[in-house]
Amino acid sequence: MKRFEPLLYGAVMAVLLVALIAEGRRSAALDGKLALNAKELYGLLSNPQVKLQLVDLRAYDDDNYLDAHVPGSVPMPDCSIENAPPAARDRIYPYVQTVLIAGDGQEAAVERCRGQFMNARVLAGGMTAWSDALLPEDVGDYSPPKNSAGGGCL
Amino acid sequence: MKLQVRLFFLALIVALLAAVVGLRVRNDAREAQVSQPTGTPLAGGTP
Repeated sequence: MKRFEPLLYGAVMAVLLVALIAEGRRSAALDGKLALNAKELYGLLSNPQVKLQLVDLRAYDDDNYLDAHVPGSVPMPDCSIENAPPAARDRIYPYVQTVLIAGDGQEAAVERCRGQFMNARVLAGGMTAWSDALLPEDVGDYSPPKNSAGGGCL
Repeated sequence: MKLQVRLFFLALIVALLAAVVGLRVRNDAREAQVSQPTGTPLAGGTP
């Protein structure tokens, strides 16, 4: 019996490790499905350890992006790179952890965008929820972050 | 096998088991959240 004891411990640990890896994968898959609320997003943006790309799918006009947007968000109207302003086109990265910000009736664009980004979550309630939570907003044209400023979102 | 080694492995197994169970409970709760949305639309508007 004593001879097999190390083997038994090893086998139990191997089974538990496999289960842990499976649950970790499931957790990562669920991350993409769950929408973030505005306060959660603000918390993530306030954490310098978290690297996030914010993509705003609303129209780039006076009633939408130019009126108010989440600081640091990159405009990409209707999830089409052709609709993005020239300064933003080379600032959209498909392999970066991304949060999509949409407007009314843009569910189709959100679904399309989920396929374009490797790891995309959605801001629940879109820009309306962000404004309702009285969180900081920027107005006006998109301007790429300066390298000397560290390129942060907030 | 020495008692200390045995205790070390047992503690390791208990810690792994706790991590697996904790993660599973958390994932189950989140899965229920995904399948029963709170009514908040993805893109603004009235819930």
